[in-house]
Amino acid sequence: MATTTAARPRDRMRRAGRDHQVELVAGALVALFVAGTWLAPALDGPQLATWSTVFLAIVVQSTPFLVLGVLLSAAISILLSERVLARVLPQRSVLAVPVAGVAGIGLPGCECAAVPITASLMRRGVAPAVALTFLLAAPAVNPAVLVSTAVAFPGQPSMVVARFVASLLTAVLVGWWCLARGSRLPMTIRRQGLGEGLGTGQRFLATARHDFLHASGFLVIGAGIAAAVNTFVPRSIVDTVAGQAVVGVLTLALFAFVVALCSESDAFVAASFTAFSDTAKLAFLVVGPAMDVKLASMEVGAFGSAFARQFVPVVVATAVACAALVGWWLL
Amino acid sequence: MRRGTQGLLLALLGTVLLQLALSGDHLRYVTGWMRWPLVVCGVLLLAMALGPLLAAHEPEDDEGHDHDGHDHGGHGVPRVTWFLALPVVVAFVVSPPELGSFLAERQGGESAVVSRPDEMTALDAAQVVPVPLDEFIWRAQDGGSSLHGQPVELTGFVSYGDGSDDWFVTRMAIGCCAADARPFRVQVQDSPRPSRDQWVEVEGTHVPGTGATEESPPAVAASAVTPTAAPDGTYE
Repeated sequence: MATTTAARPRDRMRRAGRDHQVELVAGALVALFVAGTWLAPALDGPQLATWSTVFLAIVVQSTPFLVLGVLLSAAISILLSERVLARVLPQRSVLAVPVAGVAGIGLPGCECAAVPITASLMRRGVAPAVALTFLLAAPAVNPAVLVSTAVAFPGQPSMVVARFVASLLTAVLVGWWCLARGSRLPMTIRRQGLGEGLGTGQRFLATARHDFLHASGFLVIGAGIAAAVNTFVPRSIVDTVAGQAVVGVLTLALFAFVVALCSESDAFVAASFTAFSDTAKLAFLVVGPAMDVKLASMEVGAFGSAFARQFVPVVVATAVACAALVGWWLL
Repeated sequence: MRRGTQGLLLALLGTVLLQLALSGDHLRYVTGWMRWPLVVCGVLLLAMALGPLLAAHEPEDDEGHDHDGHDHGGHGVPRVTWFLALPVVVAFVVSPPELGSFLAERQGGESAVVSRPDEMTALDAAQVVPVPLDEFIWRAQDGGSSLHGQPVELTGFVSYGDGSDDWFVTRMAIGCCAADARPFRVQVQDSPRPSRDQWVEVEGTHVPGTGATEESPPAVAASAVTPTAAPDGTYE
């Protein structure tokens, strides 16, 4: 925190503003709530109402998963020793990458939970490539997602198998890519070490709060963008390219990126793209959990924007390639 | 951002989640089973907020431990964290309604994919039987023979079609949250159209041959259309 000793009037005012920031923010919010009584009818357009509903829905749906994620990540940070992790994971990172991919089956949450967990695994000394593999695999290959895919595609178990294979393949390939890049990946990992000298309970709470505050703003931004796409871009717009094989795959992949659906329910939306080829639907299902606008935003927050600029395109490209390959093979 | 402000935003977000879950308004945004996770999450956020709120006026430079003044120019959390105020403002000021005709009409061109309902309604041709919209659509796509001569009652809100008199009795279905909502629509014939988003009970019979594929919605020949109140959970 700035410990300015200068006592110029402007500084003094800014300082007073900082010291009473809580009251100022609380006052501004109360004023907004009161003004809202008159404002709300003016904002009552169906588009804005729909955007607000979808935006709030994504935030309300994701927040419990993010809280679960930061609690697990705090547990990893404080309770799990580096020795235990070293014993569970193979010594050689080349082998640890596929192990981390398969370990993703064990986290039946959505992608929001995976980001803070991945960051804390890295802080605990897990190789970034291994932790990132887990990040990509966990939202895509867990049982809840596979079951919902089976329900959305009745009589088409090959879709479930293809989704599992293509998602795992994507995670492992990107993991190995990160391994090959090694230290050339410009990653910023926040330093650990909150609350030294406090009891375990308080340290746990401080770590969880810290992680939550770091991730939640980015989650809100991602939710806002996804809600805007949901509201203002009709899904039927993508139908115009349904007949073309290659363009169809790319379009649904791009759409998966911008609408940022929960991996547990995206299969129902994918199934409704009846005009598209099965491979295009598979691309939608493989890209979505691995990378979307909400995840990209959270990864900028967790690992830095220089990292995200490299990581995001590589993941999307790999996911599209894996979906095309597996789709051609299995579907 | 000061610690006290961090605590304030956490506490407000926790309050939003608790308020939604306890009032049942969460059903506008997410599925019913999210209620208890939201309550637990709201309480946890309030617990996380307590420390910084109580310590709001302790000098921050001296404590060093709990405060995280590193690698962000000394401000602890990134500026983006301010966005946390947005869902709070949206929830309290706008209090967004459940999805309605706007999105349903926007997505009207999509095909209706319904899976076989877990529980089928027992039909009885001698009386009017309430049938959920997804089941009605499924039966129509299944050949429609089970609906032959069966008077049904369909409940949903009104959305309009492309034609000047076209309207549909509509429900939105959500899998996870309102972001993945899909409309289930049944076209209503032989009845003047009510205003958009009005909830109605439509009595009538399936028009044979309509809705046989996923590409077009089935139609019902209406004998009576009664305005009604929206149910507690509006999504199917």
